Amino acid sequence: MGSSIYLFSAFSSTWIIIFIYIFSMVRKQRTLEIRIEKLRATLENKLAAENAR
Amino acid sequence: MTSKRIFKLIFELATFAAMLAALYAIFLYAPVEKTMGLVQKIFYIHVPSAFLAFLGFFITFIASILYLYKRDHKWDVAAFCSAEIGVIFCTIVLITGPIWAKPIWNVWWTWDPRLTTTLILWFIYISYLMLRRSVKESQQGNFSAVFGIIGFVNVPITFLAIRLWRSIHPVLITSRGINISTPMKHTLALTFLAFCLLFFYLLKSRIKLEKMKMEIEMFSALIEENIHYQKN
Repeated sequence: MGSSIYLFSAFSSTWIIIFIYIFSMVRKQRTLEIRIEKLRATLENKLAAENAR
Repeated sequence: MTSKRIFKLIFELATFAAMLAALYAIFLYAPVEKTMGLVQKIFYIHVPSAFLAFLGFFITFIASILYLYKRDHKWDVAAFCSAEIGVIFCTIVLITGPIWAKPIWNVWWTWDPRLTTTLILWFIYISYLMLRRSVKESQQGNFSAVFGIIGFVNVPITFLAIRLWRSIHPVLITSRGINISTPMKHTLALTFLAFCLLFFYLLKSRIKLEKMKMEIEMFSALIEENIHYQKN
């Protein structure tokens, strides 16, 4: 029982670290996607304004 | 589906399958060691993680040299991403090591040469990542490349620490080969394969993300410049 706790702690901490890292990458990707959407909106507004002229 | 996507899918499935196979081998195939008991199984994640931390820092070292030589930004990105993943695996080493040490050595931490040099290595690459964030973008590549090259000096020191100085850390690779039984060797080989696939998957994804970020920053600067130019 005693050694199982150490084994469980080691494996779970390893997977938690890896999942946190993957999660941080997913979050970064979402942030970038939002920025792409904002850039697209800025470009579309700019084109619309140019067409209106 | 393009061939690139098929390759990506195969790579992802292979990583997942190798991880499952490694877990099966660790818990159901590998025998329980006589003196250490179940705790010895921590070794199957500790050793590949240490190897991958070294590999990550080695890629940073090579990519830093290539960046200084070729002045191509892609090498700077590769060096940075590899250092980041190296730090992740080094963190795993520094966490799983003390968890193994407590029931075996009866202490969580001791200032043993291998443990101390690994901790120093971790601090060096944490500093590398912090340095990148603190310097100007124009200087980022040069500073980090120099740091990435100098910082690598500690990797062979860490690896050889158990041979150069008196250490209580177990020695896996000796002049007579690897000191473990055959099923343990198979399990270790499988865990190495699974962790290597995970490492390259993470590295590939991180590089892709960093390139995407750079492209967005470049486009956004161009658009802002264009808007500013038209206003004036």
